[in-house]
Amino acid sequence: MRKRILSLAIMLFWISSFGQSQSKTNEQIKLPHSYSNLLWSTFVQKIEHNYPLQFFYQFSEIPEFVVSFDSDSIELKVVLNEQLIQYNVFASFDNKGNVFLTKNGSISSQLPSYFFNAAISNTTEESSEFTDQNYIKTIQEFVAQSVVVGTKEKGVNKLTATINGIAINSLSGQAITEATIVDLISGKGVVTDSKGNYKLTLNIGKHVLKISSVNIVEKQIEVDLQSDGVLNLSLDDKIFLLKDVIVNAEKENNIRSTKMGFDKVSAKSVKKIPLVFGEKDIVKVALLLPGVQTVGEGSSGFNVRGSPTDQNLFYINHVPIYNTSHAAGFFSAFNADVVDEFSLFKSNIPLQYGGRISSVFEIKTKTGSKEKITARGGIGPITGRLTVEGPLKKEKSSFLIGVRSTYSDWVLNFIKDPIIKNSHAQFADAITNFSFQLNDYNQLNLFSYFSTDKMNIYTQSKYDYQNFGGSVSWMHYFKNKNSFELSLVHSAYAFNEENNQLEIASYSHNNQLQHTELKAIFEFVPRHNHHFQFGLNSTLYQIDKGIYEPLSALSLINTTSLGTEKGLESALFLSDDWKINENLSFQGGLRFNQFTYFGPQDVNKYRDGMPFTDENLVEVLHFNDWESIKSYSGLDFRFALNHLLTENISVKAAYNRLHQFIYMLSNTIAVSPNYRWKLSDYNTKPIVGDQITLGVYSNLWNSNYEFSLETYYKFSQNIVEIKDGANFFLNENMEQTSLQGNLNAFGAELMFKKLKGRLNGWINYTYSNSKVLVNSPFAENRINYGQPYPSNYDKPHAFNLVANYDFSRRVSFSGNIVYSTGRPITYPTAVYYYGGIPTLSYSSRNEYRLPDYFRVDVSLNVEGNLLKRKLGHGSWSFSVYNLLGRKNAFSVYFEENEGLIKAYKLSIFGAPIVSVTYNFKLGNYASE
Amino acid sequence: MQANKYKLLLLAGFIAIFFLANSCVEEYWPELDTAADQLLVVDGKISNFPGPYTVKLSYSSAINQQANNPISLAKVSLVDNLGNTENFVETSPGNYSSSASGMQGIVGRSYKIKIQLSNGKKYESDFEELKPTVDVENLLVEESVQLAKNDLETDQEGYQFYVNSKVASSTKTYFYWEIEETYEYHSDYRIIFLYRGRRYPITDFNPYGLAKVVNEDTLFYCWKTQPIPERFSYSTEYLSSPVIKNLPLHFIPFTDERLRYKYSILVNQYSISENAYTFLDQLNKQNNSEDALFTTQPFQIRGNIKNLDDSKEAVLGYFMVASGTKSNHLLTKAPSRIRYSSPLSFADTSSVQIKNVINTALASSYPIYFTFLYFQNPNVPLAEADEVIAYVERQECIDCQKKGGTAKKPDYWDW
Repeated sequence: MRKRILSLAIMLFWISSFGQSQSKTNEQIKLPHSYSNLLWSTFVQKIEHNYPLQFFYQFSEIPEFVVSFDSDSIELKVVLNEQLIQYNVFASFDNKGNVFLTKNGSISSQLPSYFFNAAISNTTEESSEFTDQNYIKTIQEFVAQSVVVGTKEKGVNKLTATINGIAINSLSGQAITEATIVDLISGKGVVTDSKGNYKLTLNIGKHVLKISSVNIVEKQIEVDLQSDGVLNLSLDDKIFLLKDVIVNAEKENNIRSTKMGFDKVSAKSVKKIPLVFGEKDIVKVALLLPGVQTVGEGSSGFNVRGSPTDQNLFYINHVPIYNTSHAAGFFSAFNADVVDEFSLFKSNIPLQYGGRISSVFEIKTKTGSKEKITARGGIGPITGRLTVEGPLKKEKSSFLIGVRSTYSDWVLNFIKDPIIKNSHAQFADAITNFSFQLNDYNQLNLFSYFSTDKMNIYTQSKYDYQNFGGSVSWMHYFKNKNSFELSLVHSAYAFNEENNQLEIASYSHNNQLQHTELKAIFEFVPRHNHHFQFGLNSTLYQIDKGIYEPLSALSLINTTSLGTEKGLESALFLSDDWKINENLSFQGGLRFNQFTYFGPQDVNKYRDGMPFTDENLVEVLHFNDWESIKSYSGLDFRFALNHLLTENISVKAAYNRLHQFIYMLSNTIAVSPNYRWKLSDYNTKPIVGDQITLGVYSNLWNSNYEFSLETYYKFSQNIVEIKDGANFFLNENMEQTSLQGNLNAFGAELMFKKLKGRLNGWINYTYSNSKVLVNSPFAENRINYGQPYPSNYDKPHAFNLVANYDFSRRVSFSGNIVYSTGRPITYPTAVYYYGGIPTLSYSSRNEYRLPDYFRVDVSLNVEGNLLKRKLGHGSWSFSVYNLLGRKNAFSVYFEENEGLIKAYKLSIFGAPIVSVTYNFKLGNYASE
Repeated sequence: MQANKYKLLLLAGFIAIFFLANSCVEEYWPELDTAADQLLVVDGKISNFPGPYTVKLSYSSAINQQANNPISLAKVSLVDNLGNTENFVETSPGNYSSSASGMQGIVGRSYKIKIQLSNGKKYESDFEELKPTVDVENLLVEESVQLAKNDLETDQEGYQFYVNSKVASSTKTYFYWEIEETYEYHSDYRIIFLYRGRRYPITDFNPYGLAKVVNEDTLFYCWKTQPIPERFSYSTEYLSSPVIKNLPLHFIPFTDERLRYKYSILVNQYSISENAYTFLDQLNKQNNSEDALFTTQPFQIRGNIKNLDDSKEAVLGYFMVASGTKSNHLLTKAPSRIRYSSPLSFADTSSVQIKNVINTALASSYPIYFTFLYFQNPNVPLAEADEVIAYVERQECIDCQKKGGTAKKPDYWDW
C-alpha cells in the first residue's frame, strides 16, 4: 500500500518537474508596497492588472473582505495564504500565470470543473506547493501529502529552517488547539497553542509531519523543507470517519508538553460512555479520570486530588459557574450537545487562571457553523435537548443556541407514592454562542449561559437556583503570530429557599453571588522556542448574603438581612513555554494576586489570637462603601520541566503555588445544594495551596497506547472547615461557625489508554490520601480533638475502566467498571441512656469506612446509516447503569428503633437503571 | 425533631423524583470497634416542681452491647448559688434522689450538681440559672398523614399533637418538652373468681370453692401513664416574639393499640438554658438523622459536666436546670376507622390444672384470678351453653394492673 502511494507521488513529482521554474518565479512575485482597506475583488483586479497573472477561484468560497497588510516586499503567495486561511483557501501557482485559490488546499482531489478546460494540463504538473492526494483516500486512511515549504534560494547555506502556521478545522475554520505536530523522521514535535499556531524548526530536507489531536483525523504530510516558510494545516473533523477514539488522542502531547495533571476530553469521544439515565454528561466523565472523586452520587461537585469541591473553578467559555449541578448533584449543569471539549487541570494550572487552588475545569462550547444551519438534539428519560446552529452571515459570523430541559415532571403525577406525588423537580439550561469574524485580525465572541433548578420537596420546602453568565471576548491577531484577547465576563449565581416545615418559623431566604471579571491576555512568540503569555485579570465578587423573611403572616421569623460583601481580586501574570533544547522544555511563570475586601460592612473584631466567640468580641468596626477592610496579596508560581528521555518516554516535574480568596460554606458531608459562597475577610485568611508533581509519560507500540504515572503531594493552608454542630440558620457571624486548617494530600495516578482499534478506552488506578488537620491551643478551635482526620472524600484506592468496542461502524458496545474504597464515615462508638432513650455517642471523625464501591455500566449504541451527505442522522443508545444492581452504600446510619439501636445502609441506586436515549442531528448538507 | 423529619423528606424527595424509589434502605451492621471507652453519663434535672429530683449515673456501653451500666456508691449533691446543699441518696442502683422535703428549685437561683465516684474522681456541672416559667397556652391535636418511620413509601394516618405557649418574658427562650401519655386498656378476661388461700363451699357454679368477686369490672379497666421516650426542643431565638405556636410534638399512628379506647397526653413545658438547648438540639439531630443524603458530620456531644481534675475527660449527658409548667390533659377519642385485633391470651379450663394452681400457688402470688369461659356447643341452644371456670396463666391478661397501669380512672378521663 505504502509503496503504491510512494510511486504515485514520484510519478506526480516527475510530471510536475516540467515548468517548475516558471511557477516559482510567479509565486515569488513580491508586492512592493502595503495595501490597506482594499476590498478583495479590487485587490485581485489590481494584481491581475499589475502582473501577468490570472486568478481562478469560486466566488462563493471567498466572500468580499478587506485586504490589509503593511510590510513591503512580501511574496504574493504568502500574502494570499495569510489572507485566505480564514476561508480555508490556499493558493497554487502554475507556470502559465494562473493562480488557483482552492478550498482545503487540495487541488488534485477537488479540481473545480470551472477551470478544468483552462488548466488541465498544468494542474497536476504542479508547481503548487500543496499537492494533496486526497483522491486516494479510498485506498488508505492516512494520506501522505507532499508539500514544499520555502525556496531553495532562501535556504542556501542554512542547515535549519522554521515552519510556522496555523492548524484549523477544515469544516468550521476554527483553530485547533493542542494539536500535536511531530516530525516522524527526527522525532521533533510541537503542540499548537491556544490559537492553533505552531512553530517548528527542522533540518532542511525531507520530513514527514504527523498531525493529531482530539477531534481531528490524524494526518501525515511529507514536507520538503527548503527554507523558513508557512505551512497551514487544514484538518478534517473526525466525525466523518466514525472511528471513535474514546479519550483524547494527545499522544505525542502526552510526552512532549509540559502539562501535568492534565486531561482533555472531547464531547464526541465520550458520547458512548454509559451514565445515569443515559444522560450524556461530559463533566460526569471526569469522575472516570484518575484523581477525581466525589463523596457519592447526589453530591454536588468534584474532589480533585483530595481537595474540597470549592477549590475547583469551572469555566464555560470564560464564564465561571458557581453551581455546576442539576438536581442536587445527580447531573451536571452542562448540556453535552453544546460542549466541544473540556480540559481539566489538576496541577500546574495555567497562569492565566487563578483563584482556585485545586483545579480548573475549562469547558469549551462549540461555535456555530459558519457554513449552514443545522440542528441536533436528543430525548432521554429525564431530559430533552435541542441545539441549533448556523451562520448569521455566511462565513463571517455564526450562532449556536442549545437548550435542555426536564420534561418528566408530569410523570410524577401518576405515582401514588406520597412523597413523590407531593414533590416536583425541574431543571433546564441554555447557552447561546455568537461568533463574529470581524476581519482577518479580529474576532468577537458573545456567549451566554443560563441554568435553573427547581425543587419542591413534599410541599414543605422549595429550592431554586440559577446561574446566569455572559462573556464578550475580543480576539486580535497580530501578523507575527502574536495575539491579544480581551474578555469581559459576568456571572451570577442565585439561590432561593422557601421553608414551610413549621408555620411559625416558615421563611424564605435568597442569596446571590456576582462575579464580574475583566481579563486581558497577550500572547507573544518572539522566537520559536519561547512562547510568552502575559496579562491581567481582575474579578469583582459581590455576595448578597440575603434576607430571611417570614413566608406567611403566621410566621414569627424576624426579617433579618445578613448583608452583603464585596471583594476585588486582581492579578498580573507572566508565563513562558520555553523549549530549552531538543529534549528539555520548561513552562512556568508568576502570578501576583491582590485581594481587597471592601465595605460596606460591620466587621467583628476579636481579641488577638483568641477563638471567634461572643466572649472574645472586642468591637464592631464599621466600614463604608468601598472602604478597604483588609487586603491580602500572594504570589502564585508554576514551574514545570519536561525531559524527553527517548522519543517515547518523558519525565516531568512541576511545583506550583496558588491562592484562593473565596470558599464554600457547607456543613453537610455530601455537599447539599444550599451551600453558600463566602469571601476571605477580616477574620478569614485566604487559602494557599502548594503542589509538587512528578510523572513519567510514555507512548507505546507506535503510539497506539499511552501510559502515564503521576505522583503528587499537596499541602493547603487555611482551608475552611465547619465547626462541629455549627448552625448557619440566620447566622450573622459566620466566622464563628468555621475554622481554618491544613489539608495534606498525596497520591499516585496510573493511566493506561488504548487509543485506536476496535477496542479502545482507558484503565486507571489511583492511590491517594487526603487528611485534614484543624488544631489550635484552644479546645473549641479544634476539630477531631486536634488530630488529623481523613477528608470526607478520601478514597485510597480507585480503579476505573472505560472501554468501547466497535462491532461495526454502526454498532458499538461501551462499558465502565468503577471501583473505589468506601468513603470515610464517622460511626458511633458508644451508646448510653439519656432521658430513657438510647443515645449514640460518636468520637473520632471519619475513623471508619463505608463498604467498597463497585459498579458496572454498559451501553449499546446503534448509529443510523453512515451516508456522509443526508438530511438527518439518528442514533440510539441503550444503557444500563449499575448493571449488577449492587447496593453501594451512600451512607450508613444508626437509629433507635423500639429501644434498640439499629444500623441501616442507604443506597441511592439499589437496582440497575435501564434507559434508552435517542439522539438526532439535522444537517442540510445537500443545500450546501 | 423537625429538622430530622425534614431531612428524611429531602432525601426521599430527591431520590424518588429522579429514580422512582430506586434507592433502598436495608439493615446493615458495620464492623465496629467493640472495645469502646466507658464514659460517665449523667442524666439529671432540677426544676421548680417539687422534688424528689433524680440524678442517674451510668457508664456508656459499646454500640453492639447496648446496656445500662448503673454506677453505684457515688456521692451526689445539689448546690445552689446561695450555698445551700443537699446530698442525694442512692435509691436504686445508679439512681440518686433528693428527699421529697428537701431543696426545691426557685426561679432566679442557680444550681449545679457535684458528683464523686467511688474511685475518687470528682465531677461538677456548671451553675445554671433557673429561668422564669412560661405557661402552656394549650395543646391541640389534629388528624394527620405522615411518613412511616424507616419506610419512605408508606403514609401513616395518626394523631399529631401540637403545643402553644403563652408569650415568654425573655426574647430568647429555649423550650424543652417532656410528654406523658395516658391510655386506657382492658384485660382480656373479666375476673369472676379469685383465690387467696381460702376455700369456700363448692357449688355447680363454683366447683373449686373459690371466692366470688363483687364487681367483675375490677381490674378489667386500667389506665397507664408513662413518659414518651422522645425529646422535643425549640428555641425562639429567631422569632420576633418569644412564643410557640402550633409546634408539632408527638405523633401516634392510628394503628397503635394505645388509641383503642381513649388516649391523652400531658406536657411538661420547660424553659432551659441556651447551653442545654444546644445540647438537646444536637442530640436530636444526631440521633434522628434517619436518612443520610445531606447529613452533617457527627461528633461527640458533651454536656455541662466536667471532671475537675481532667478537663479532657469526655462526660456524656447533662444536668439540667429547668423551670416547668404543666399543660392540661388533652384527651382524644379512638379513631373510628381502625379495627384493632383482639388476640386473647390462653385460658385453661382443665380441672387438673386449676386444682394444681390452687394447691401449689405460693401466698406471695395471691390473689389468683379466674374467669368464666362460655363454651358454645353448636348442638346446644345458646342459653344452655356451658359456663366453665378458667385459669388465665398470664395473670396480667386478667389483672390489668399487672401491665403497669392503675385501675383508678383519671378524673379527667370522661368529657
